[in-house]
Amino acid sequence: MQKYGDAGIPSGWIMEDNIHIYAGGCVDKERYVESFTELIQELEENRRALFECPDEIIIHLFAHFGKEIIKDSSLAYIPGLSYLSLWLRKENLHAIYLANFGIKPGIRDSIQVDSRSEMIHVPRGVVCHWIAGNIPLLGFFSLVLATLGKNASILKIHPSVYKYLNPLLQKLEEVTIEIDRVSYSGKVITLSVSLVSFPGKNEIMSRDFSLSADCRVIYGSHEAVQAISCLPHQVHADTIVYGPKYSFAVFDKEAVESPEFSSMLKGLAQDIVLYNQAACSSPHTIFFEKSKMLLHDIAEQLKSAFQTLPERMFYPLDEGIAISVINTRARYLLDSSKDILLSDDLKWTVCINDTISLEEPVQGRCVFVKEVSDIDQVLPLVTRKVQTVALGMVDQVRKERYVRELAYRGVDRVMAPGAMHEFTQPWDGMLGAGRMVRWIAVVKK
Amino acid sequence: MTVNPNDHLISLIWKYGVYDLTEIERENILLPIIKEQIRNALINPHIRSYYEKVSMNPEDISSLADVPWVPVTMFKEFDLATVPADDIVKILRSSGTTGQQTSKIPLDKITIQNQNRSLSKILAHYLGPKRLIFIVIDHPEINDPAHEFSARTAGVRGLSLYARKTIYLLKKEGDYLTVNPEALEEIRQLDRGIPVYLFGFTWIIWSVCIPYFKKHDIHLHLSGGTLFHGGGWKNLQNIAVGKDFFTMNIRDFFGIPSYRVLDFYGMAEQTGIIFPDCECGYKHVPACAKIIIRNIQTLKPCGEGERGLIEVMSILPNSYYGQALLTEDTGRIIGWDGCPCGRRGVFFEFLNRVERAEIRGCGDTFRVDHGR
Repeated sequence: MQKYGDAGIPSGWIMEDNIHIYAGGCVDKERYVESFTELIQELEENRRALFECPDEIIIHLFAHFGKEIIKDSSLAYIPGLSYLSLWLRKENLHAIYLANFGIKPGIRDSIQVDSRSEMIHVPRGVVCHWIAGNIPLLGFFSLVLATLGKNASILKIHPSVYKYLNPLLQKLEEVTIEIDRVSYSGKVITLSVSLVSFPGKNEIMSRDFSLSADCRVIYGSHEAVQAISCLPHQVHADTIVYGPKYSFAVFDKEAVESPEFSSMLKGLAQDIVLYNQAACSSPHTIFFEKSKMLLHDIAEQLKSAFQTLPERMFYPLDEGIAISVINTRARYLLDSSKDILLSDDLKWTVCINDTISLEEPVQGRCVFVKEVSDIDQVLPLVTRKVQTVALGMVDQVRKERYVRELAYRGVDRVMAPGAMHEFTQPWDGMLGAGRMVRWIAVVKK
Repeated sequence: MTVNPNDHLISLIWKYGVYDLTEIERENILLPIIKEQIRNALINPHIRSYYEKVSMNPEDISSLADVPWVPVTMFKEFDLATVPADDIVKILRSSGTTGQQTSKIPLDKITIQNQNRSLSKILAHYLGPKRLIFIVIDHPEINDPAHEFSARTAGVRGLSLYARKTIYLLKKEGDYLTVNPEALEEIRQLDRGIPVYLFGFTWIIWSVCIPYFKKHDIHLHLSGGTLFHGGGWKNLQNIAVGKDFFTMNIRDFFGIPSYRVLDFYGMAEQTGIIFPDCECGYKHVPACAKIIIRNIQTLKPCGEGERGLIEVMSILPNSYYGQALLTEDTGRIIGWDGCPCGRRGVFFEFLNRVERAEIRGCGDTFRVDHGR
């Protein structure tokens, strides 16, 4: 690995007009450069070792790392750490692998196509990830998907998330496992990873980054996705877009009147609180089918659900979001036709109205609850921008029909309340890891 | 016209002196007045709705910090008048600095009187008992009733109360502002050291006046002048111009001593109250008002030195709910009493305006379009 001198330019959060390659992963010391050429060369050299490493070992390393991070109190400040640890369980990674590659890891690296041919998957090469800054660990989840396909990764991150991602890379680097008397180190993964920042508005750097990719993974807002998608790229490079999405929840009458309703609401309260509602899988509107319970009483139950959540789940709000919540609260307090329940602080806000619409997200743990006479009234609101619907339904036949209708209209995920943020495969209608590999046809003898 | 039972109390407040109340005294004096004002404010259906939803009875309010506050931006969306429509003699329309929806602040005669009286008292405290020549570092149309009432207009009108004569230093040339040479000459002709007071928007002074003075090598000698300036600090910070550097330039080009270059904080929704810097660079609270800094996460009052949102409480508004307004500005309490300048009670500093939320990432959904 080449060594570089520290350019000594303090960047802080004000991004300079150069590429900041952070220390961590394959990089010893932070550096500031004008092109990605040398970094790509390093990663191209290093990814060979990852390619040679058995799939099963990569999964073992991640699973072991998942157990270690939760024991390390110095990492406890990282939002979403316990979920990452759970997600990295071996069984879950096996399931993700199977869903994406159609085979179990470590068995035989080929799938039979017909009697004369089979197919195997190989990494695309270097995956360039544009990571949105709204979810601190988003970059790590994306990295794992790329690594399961044995790709090298460059993560373009917002400087504010470096403090979360770099300690995790350091921890992964320290992980060692021994299988069949052979020792493996997490370095085999981290040497194929780099974290970078540069101003997205800098067209030259953005083009260079895009052209460096064998596969582009874009997370972000409408504007970000549009801008990045238009950048020139290698003809062979695939582009995976995780664009802006909206999520909401629906409960039918039977669910509202069921004994499980309060536990469903508790799960939903967790979904609202996690990530301060900044995730695409965060619910902003909840529809309840008319039942014996008054909407205000349901909102009171949701309030109780918020109150049972542990203090540590409530992270400070972004100041601008806090102002939006304060103003939304005031609108509902001052408008005599509207109803609201709210905490003394900004922990949670339940706005109550009967307009059948998907409310503009306020974020900051501010949710809108509505009553509908029939949950079918919600269906016309669904567009391809809807990602996750948390569904509280008891009757399986009705649920199956409803899910099909939601899916037809654009919904990507139908989850249970409390499970909206589970990073399942597929996501946004795609098997991400499967898209990050090339499928090779091989004729059998 | 509705008779306000608090009239006599509000006029009595000035007997305490503008900056002579400790916080305990302020609490004891203002609380009963504000409680009475809130009882009257419940005539407004929005305020009544608010109080009902937070289960607050004015009788149960035991401290000023408990008074339900309204975000200042709500004047853009709600009619918060607390007197019958017939009593309203003027509606202040202010776009503020964000320039979008307009705030509507209904004023009756009592409120206007209260505001004028308060401003006179505050200005007198800084300028002495006599009316003075007022130099506005802006153009005359800013005070034209036909034009929209902006934060700059509010400042000019408010401070005009103390003017013996007004000179507008700037003029408009098309869409641009520049120094008016005739006004400049008039100011030059003033006796050296004559007491005058000046008002201008900080960013305009910096971006229009100072470059002109530099270019034409103009150095005024307003050693008896006091400059009140405010607004636009964000622009100056973006070009790394701090308060000290700004003050130094004012001293050099206007000849105003540094200690009389007073950055002030105020807002159209609380006209009548301005918070100029004291000689030590801090802001003090006049007797008719109270400042609470609220933690932006817990909304509870902050301790000394803790940054939070500035809430401005006032007994001046009779015609609208201005008793407790939460701003989008942040500040911090420097001390509860004992500022070396000698003014009593809490003293604080303004820090910045909270940046509006810009939802980013995959959660940024509907702001663009709903799509298919």
